[in-house]
Amino acid sequence: MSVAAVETARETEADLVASGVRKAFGGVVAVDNASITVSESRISGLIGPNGAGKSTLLSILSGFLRPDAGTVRLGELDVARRGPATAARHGLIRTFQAAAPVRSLSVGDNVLLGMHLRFTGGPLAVLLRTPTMRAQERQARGEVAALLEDIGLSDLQDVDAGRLTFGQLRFLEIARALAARPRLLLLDEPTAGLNTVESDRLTALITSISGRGVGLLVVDHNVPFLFAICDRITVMNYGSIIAEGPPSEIETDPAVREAYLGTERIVEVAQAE
Amino acid sequence: MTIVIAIGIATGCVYALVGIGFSLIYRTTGIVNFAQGVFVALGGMSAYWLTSVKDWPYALALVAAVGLSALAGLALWLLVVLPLWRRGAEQVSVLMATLVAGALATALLQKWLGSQPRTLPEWIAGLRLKLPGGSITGQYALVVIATVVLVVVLAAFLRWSTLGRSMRACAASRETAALLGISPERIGALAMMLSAALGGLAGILIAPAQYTATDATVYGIFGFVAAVLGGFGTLIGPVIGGIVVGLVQAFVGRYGNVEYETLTVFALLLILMTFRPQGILGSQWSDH
Amino acid sequence: MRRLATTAHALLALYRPLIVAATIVAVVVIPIGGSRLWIYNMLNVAIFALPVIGLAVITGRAGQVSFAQTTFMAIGGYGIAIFTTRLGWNAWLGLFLSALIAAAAAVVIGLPMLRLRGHYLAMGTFALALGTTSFALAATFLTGGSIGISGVPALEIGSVSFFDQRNAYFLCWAFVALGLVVHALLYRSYVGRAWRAVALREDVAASLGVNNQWFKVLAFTIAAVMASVAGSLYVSITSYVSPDLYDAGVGVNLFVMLFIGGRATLFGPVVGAAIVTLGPQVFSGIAEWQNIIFLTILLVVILFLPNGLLGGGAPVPRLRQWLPTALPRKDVAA
Repeated sequence: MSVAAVETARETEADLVASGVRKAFGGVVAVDNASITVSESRISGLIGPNGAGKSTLLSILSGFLRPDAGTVRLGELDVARRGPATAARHGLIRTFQAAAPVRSLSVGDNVLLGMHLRFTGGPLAVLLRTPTMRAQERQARGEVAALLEDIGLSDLQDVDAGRLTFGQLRFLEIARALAARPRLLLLDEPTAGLNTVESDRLTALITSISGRGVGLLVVDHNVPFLFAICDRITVMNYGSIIAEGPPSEIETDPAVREAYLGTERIVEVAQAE
Repeated sequence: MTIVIAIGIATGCVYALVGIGFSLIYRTTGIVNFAQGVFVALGGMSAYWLTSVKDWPYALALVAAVGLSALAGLALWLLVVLPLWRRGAEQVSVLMATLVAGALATALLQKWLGSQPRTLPEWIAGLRLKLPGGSITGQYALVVIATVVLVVVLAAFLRWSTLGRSMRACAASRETAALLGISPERIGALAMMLSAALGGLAGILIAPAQYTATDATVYGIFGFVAAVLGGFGTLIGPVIGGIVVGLVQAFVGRYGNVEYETLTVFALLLILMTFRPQGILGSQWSDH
Repeated sequence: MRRLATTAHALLALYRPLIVAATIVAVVVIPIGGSRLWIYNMLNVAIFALPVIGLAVITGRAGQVSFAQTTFMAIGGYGIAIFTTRLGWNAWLGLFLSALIAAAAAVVIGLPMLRLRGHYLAMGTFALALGTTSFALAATFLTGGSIGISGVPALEIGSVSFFDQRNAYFLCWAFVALGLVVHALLYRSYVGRAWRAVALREDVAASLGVNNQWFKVLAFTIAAVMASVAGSLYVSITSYVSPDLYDAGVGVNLFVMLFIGGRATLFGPVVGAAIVTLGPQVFSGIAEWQNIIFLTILLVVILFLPNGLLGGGAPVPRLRQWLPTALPRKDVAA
C-alpha cells in the first residue's frame, strides 16, 4: 500500500481539518484513521468504491456524525462536538446525496431558507416588523432572483420544490447551499443522476464557485469529472485512505488502480466518451 | 397487602393484553391504533348481550365475543386504516382516523347497549383464591394464567410459524416483505384482527371480576401506557409495563389517595418518556 | 363515482375563498343582528379557534404532533381562577400571568419532550394531557378537585364588563384576529421557512444553520400561550373552571378542528372550529343520532380530504383504495 505525499501546504485558520477520524457501526468499521483537509479556493475530491466510507466521512466532516476517535476542526471550532448548525454558522455547508428539497416551499423559498443565518432579529422583530427585519427580507429576496439566474433556475422561482425534476433538484440544492454564503462547501455526489449536459453545467458551476474563493470537497463516483476539476484527490477503500495527491499522481498510483480505477488511463477513457 | 398485589397483577395483565395489541399493530404496520380500547368494550359487552339477551350458552358466547372483536378489527382495518395506508398518509392522519373511528364505535355501542356497566358470570363458578388477608374471586387467577398462556403462544407463533415470521418481516420492512411475496396488507389485517381479539379477550376476562361497559377508554389508555412503559414494539414489554401500571394503581388506590391513582401512573409515564422513550424493554427506536 | 369525487373536490376548491368570506361575514354580522344563541355559539367558536391556531403553528407548520394544548388551556383556566378568587388579583393580571406561566411551562416541558419524534411525541404529549386531567382531579388543594373553582370574576375595561356575552364576543374574536396575524407574520418570515424545514427535513435545516430544537420550542411556546389565553378567556366568561373542560376528548376535538379546516392553512383553524363546534347543532333535531352522524362525517372528511376543507393540492383519493390489491390494475403492464 503506497500513500502519496501528504499535502505540505500550511493549514490556514479557515481550513477544515480532520485527523485520525474513526467511526464504527456495531462491528463494522466504516472509517478508519482518516485525515483530510479542505482549504478555501481549492477543490478537493473524495473517491472510492461503494462502501468505502466516503459518505460516512462526509457526515463526520460536516458535524452530522460524531467520530469514535479523532478530531474535526474548523479553525478553533470543534465541529464534531458542536454539530452541523454551528458549523454552518462558521461557513461550513454541505449538500445531500439524495436531493432534499423542502417540499411545500417554492424554489425561491428554498433558496431563502439557505439565507436563514442572515436574519438576525428574533421572532419578536418579525412580529413588530422592525425596519432591520424588513430590510433583511427585502435584500434576501433580491438576491434570490440573482442566484437562481446564475444557476439557471430562474423561471422556476415560484414553483413548488416538490415538482422539480431530479436534475433541477440537484441545482436547487447547490443554489440553496450557495445562498448560505459558504466558505467551505461539501458536495455529496452532485453528479449522480445527471446527464452529460447537466454534468457539464455542474462542472462550470463548481469551477466558478471555486473561483470566488470557496473551498470545495466533492464526493463522487464520476472519476473523469473529478479528475478534471480537482486540485487534489483523496482515495478511500474499506474505510481507510489509500492515497492522496493531485490527479496525475492518483491516476498512476498502483494501489489506487488495484482497488478502484482499473488499468486503463482515465484520460483515455474520458476522451473516448 | 397480598390481595392488593394480586389484584394489581391481575388488572395489570388485562392492561398487558391491550398493550400487546398496540404493540403488535405498531410493530407490523407502524400505526398506533388509538381505537384499541373499543375492542375491550366490544368483547365484554357482546358477551353480556349474547348471554343475557340472546340466552346463548356461556362458553359459546365468550368465544363469539372474541370472534366479534376480531371482526371489528378487520372492519377497522379495511374501512379506515387501509385507504390511508395505501395513500401513504402521514402518521397524524392515521392517528386521527383511528381516534375518530374509536369514538364513533363507542357511540354506536352505547346506542346499541346503553352506558350501564354490566358484569359477566365467573368462568369457573365459585372459584376463590385464598390469600393471606382474605379471598378474592378466582377469576383474577384465570386472568393471569390466560395472559401467560397467550404470551407464550404468541411468542411461539411469531417465532416459529410461517405466518408469524411474515409478521416479523413486515415489522422490519414493509417494502422488503412485499418483495418477498408477503402481502403487507394481509399481514396488517391479521395483526389488527389479532390485536382486536386480544382486546376482546381482555374484556371478557376482567368482566366477571370487575365489570364491563360500553366505554372502555380507561382500558385503552392504560393498555397504551403499559405498552409505552414496557417498550412499544415488543411482546414482553407491555406485560411488564402492564404489571407496573396495575401494581401502581392498586397500591396508590389502597394506601394513598384514590384520586392520585391515575396521576401517579401518568407521572411515571411522563418521566419515562422523557428519559427513556423506548420504554423499559424497547431498543433505541428508529423512524419506522 | 370517481368523477363525482373529482367534481366535488373541484367545487370545493372554487368555493374555498367563499367559505372564508362567509365565515368572516358571519363573525361580523352576528353580533349586530344575531340572536343570543348565535352569539353564544360564535363565542364558543372563537374560544376554540385560538388554541387551534396554536396547534396549527406547532403541528401544522413545525410538524410536531402535540396533544399538549389542553394542558396549557388548563394552566390558563385554572391560573386565572386561582389568581382572582384565591389571591384577589385583577382578572387581566391573572390572564397575563397565566400566559407567562404557560410559556415557561412550555419551555420546561418542551425542551425534553420535543426531542421525541413522531409517534413518541404524540404519545408523550397525550400522556401529558391525560396527566393534566388527573392532576386537576387529584390536587384538590389547588384546583378544587372535581368540584372546580367558581366565582371567577369577568374581565373588565372601565365600565365594560366582558361577562356580557356580546362584549365577550368582540374581545374573543379580537384575540383570534391577533392570533391569525401572529401566525401569518411568523409564517411568512424566516421563522416560517425554518419551521417547514424542521417539519420535513431536520438534517437539511441543520446543514443551513437552523437550530432545530429552538424552533420547535418556539412553536410549542407560541401554541401554549394561545391556548392559555383561550383557557383564561373561557373561564373568565363562564366564571367557572373544572377538570372536565380539559379532558382528552377536548384535545382530540382540537385536532379534528385543525384537520377539518386544513392544517397547512392560515384560516383553517377558524373554519374547523366553526364546523366542529356548530356542527352538532345542525343535527340537534335528531338528538339521539347527532353524535354518531357527526362523528361519521368527521371520519369521512379525514379519509377523503387529507388537507382539510381549505387545504388544496392533494390528489383526489380514489375509491380504488378500498379494493384489495389482488385485483389486477389496469395501468400496470401484466
